[in-house]
Amino acid sequence: MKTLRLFIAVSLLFSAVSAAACGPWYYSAADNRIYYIESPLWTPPATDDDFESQNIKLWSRQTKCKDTAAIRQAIYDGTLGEWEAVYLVIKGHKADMGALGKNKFVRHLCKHKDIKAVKVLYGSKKYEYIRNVQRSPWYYDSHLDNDEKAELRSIYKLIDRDYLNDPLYGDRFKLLALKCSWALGNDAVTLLMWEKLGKTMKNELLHDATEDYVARTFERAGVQRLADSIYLSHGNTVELVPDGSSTPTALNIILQLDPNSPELSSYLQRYLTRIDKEQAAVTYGCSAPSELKEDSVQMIARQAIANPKVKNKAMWRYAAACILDYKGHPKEALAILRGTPNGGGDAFLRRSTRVLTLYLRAKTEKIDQKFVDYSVGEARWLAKEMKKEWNMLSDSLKNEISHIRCWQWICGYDELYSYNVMRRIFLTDSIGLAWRMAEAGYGVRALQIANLADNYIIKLSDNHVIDSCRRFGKWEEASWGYYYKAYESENYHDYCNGLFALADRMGAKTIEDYLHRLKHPKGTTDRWFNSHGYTSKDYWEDIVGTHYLREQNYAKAAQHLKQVSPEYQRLMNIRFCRDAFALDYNTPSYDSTHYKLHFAQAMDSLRQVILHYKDKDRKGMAMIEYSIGLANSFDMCWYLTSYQKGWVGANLIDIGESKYGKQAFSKAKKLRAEALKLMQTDETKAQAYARLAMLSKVMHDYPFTATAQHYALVCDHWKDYRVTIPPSYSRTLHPSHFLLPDLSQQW
Amino acid sequence: MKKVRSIVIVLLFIAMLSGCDKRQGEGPAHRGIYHWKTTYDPSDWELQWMKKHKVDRLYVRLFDVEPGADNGYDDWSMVPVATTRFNQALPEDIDVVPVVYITVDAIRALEKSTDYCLSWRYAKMLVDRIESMMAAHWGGELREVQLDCDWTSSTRAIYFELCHEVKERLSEKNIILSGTLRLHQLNQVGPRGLLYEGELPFDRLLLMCYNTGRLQDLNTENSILDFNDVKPYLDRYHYYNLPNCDVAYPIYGWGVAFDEQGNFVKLINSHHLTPLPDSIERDMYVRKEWGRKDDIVKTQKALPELDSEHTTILFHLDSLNLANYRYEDIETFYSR
Repeated sequence: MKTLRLFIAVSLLFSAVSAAACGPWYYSAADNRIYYIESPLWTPPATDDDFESQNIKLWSRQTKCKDTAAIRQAIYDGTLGEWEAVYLVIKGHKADMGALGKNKFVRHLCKHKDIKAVKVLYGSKKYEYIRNVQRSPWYYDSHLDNDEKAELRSIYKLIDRDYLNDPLYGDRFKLLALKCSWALGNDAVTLLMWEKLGKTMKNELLHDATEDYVARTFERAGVQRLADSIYLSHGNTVELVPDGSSTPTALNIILQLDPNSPELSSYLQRYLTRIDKEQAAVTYGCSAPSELKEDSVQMIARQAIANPKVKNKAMWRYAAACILDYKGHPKEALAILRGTPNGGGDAFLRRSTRVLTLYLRAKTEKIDQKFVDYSVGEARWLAKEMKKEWNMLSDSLKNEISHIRCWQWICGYDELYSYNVMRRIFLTDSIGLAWRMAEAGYGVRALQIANLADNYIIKLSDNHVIDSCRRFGKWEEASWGYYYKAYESENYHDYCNGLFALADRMGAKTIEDYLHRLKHPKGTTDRWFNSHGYTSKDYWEDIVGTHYLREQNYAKAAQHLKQVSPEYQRLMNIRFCRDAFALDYNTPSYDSTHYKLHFAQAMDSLRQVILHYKDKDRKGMAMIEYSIGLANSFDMCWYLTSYQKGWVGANLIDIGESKYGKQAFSKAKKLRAEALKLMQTDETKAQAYARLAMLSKVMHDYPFTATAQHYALVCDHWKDYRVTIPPSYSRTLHPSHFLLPDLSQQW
Repeated sequence: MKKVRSIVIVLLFIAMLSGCDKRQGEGPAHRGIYHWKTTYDPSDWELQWMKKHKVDRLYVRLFDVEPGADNGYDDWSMVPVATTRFNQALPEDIDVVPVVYITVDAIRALEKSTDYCLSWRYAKMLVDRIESMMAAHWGGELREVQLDCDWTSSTRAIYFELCHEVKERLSEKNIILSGTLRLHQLNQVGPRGLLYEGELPFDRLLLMCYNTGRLQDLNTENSILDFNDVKPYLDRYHYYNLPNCDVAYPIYGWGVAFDEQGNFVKLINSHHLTPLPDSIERDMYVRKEWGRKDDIVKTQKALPELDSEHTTILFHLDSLNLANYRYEDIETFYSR
């Protein structure tokens, strides 16, 4: 039973604490990717000279189906199951052709009973499927019969002997037969087949595709020279890379044979993406930095930069810079990037190079006025890019992103590249440029840039109506821009972002200066930042007021807190639930509206009394009250000086443990000692001890005062004089903290 | 009639007792040896050696599993490497147990992935590959598969998850899964360790009684097997509550080269120890190490009674090493 009681008591205690301990938390921008050689959204324009396009045209000519889009869809998107169904249907069986059932090309084939075309396509799909299995590094080719080989042989059954001489599809059947033979590992048969059939192939496209398998056969037999000569004659750099090659091997092979191959950029991008992700993991402390194992790609990049045949030097310089940065040499990375010739690379790479330059300079350079001006210019440029990106988003994507309630959860959207990199460069915890600027004394600019990086996206989306929300009792259509306001009890944004984390680390004066510049911008740059950031008066006045409470400047705090509307105070995710001048944390506050303001005003009044009153007893009592309020505002009423309690993110402050909290507790202790010394009459001293809940002291030292007699009347046993304060809040409030011995022990 | 009944009962009792004694005195049920090379091509001498010593179980390493390399197209967490090439078929008259060595880095790579079905997928690929290889090179019936991994406390959970999946797949085919256990891993086993009963995902365990010392430490006497290193673990053996256990002992050697300052330089193949190769400079100190008979015998004696089906395994099938042990020595090792 005792255990149960204890359990209930502890549960209640925790629930009481956690109920008030809600507050901000946020995701860092450290894992937003930054290394981009080619856009993840970019797809190569369909040109007429690639195999796919030419193959589709050939199918169009052979089948007399003009709908090339349908041909592309059927051939490249159709699954093996669907093509199997098409094969059954054309043979007169019933089967569900899935998506291909509505495809115009397939319907055309069925209508004209073009069984040869269907056999080629079904056989090719089957072949691709088996090759996918065989390509896995886990596949073991035992040279014995297995399921895959049986399936490959079943493709042969689709090819009648006279099909090989078919004027229309003969070459396609030859290609299919030869590649099946190759996949079966029958090298001698493959070469014999080529010897016999190769000469008879009329279509150049299919001839070259078939000959690629001959090259693979040579490759497997160890005659690499013959294989390479065939690949090169076809301009087939992809095939020059053996299956399972590592990125450095692939880059090396392609670079040697075709220094300007378009394949190089995609290999490099895949590689950079990997190290970018690894770097984020290191920043988060999830993993240790890798050993310098990436020397091979770096060396290839250096060779490429020095190679006169390489045209796209900008790309290689960019890649080399990324690798150096990843390895922890941002200065060297910057030097190599600076060697990029003007106008090098395509528009996308030029943009990436500019972003990487900013990123590297932000990491390495000294922060002075010149650098701050440069950063402002780059931030403005990135904002322009962001606007372009936002306007290019489809409505469905805008909706999707808009429904993520906390904006800092937006990550992984490649469409928002500028937004991602801006947050990574400026806001990454502690090492972001805004943080460094703040440290270097450019606090206002730091806040302006951080505000832009975090909140410009809200401005951009302001006209995008996404939902109906309940706001102050009414349903309203809400745009993304003020979505957070729409909820009556929750605020998803204000206190869970990088801007807030930065501001939380700054002094009140800097934030007040920033607020002043919001109201009275100095010049066009200020005006521009104000129009691109989150400028809610309520939000900023509350932050400044709170910071002044933290710094015990209550008059200033009151000035700002006066400006915060009662409506906004309801949206702060915090319940102002405890009386700030009570010793017992169960005493509720009588009014939560203007809670902070009323506290600031009360503390300022007490300060006036302490400063100006001559009556030592009244002055002493004011000091006692002031000390209680002061200690409470950093402890059980933490929401007066902070925005969170409990779990505190990497860069949010635990106010009780901060320098402000420690100063306040020490000052409160000193004030109480001074006040008790200052007081002249026993009655006042008894009142002071009673106020501090030290009733045993009152009864022992001042038994004949009216205060002691009052307690003697209302309490029937000495034990009742003691106030038990739960241990969680005892640190600052327990009487023993304030010099005086706990006399109950002596009684 | 009563007399006859009494005699029969007494005889049966004696037979039972003598049966028990006999089983204990006969040594292991199976004699095994590892084949730990990348090419399976045992010499006639090696095959004869196996016959001479009545080896009836061959543990063959099939491949290692390492973290997957990004080949530009696929992102494999783990890939098989150093697959054994079979220049000969595996002998059909003895039991063959395929062994796969999984590196700790591969387990870490598996852990990094966010794909929750990964263990399931890799278990399937692992079992499929083992079966394909065994079907291609051995005509016998597969009864056991062994996984070897130097798992640590931080990689144990994910490795065991993979092993559980493998075990489940194998049990459907009546194949048992055995796992290697290094001495340091014993610290994590038993009621005082971190493992709880039933967590070990193996039907049998293989206690590896080699590589027991710190190789790179100049003060180590014999890193391959030193009874003094093994003893503290075996003294606590009864705590571990292990399932059926096989034991492996070393019959190999090497040289460990240290520089003047006592820093580890490299390992030298046992074949090159006399004379020392040119690459060993004069001022280097070379510690010659072997799986010594005394240490093996002491270790065997210190081990508690193992179950009647246990296998004693020697590491490994290599004529150049095996030739350093007398016939009687090998028989002694196999006698328990």
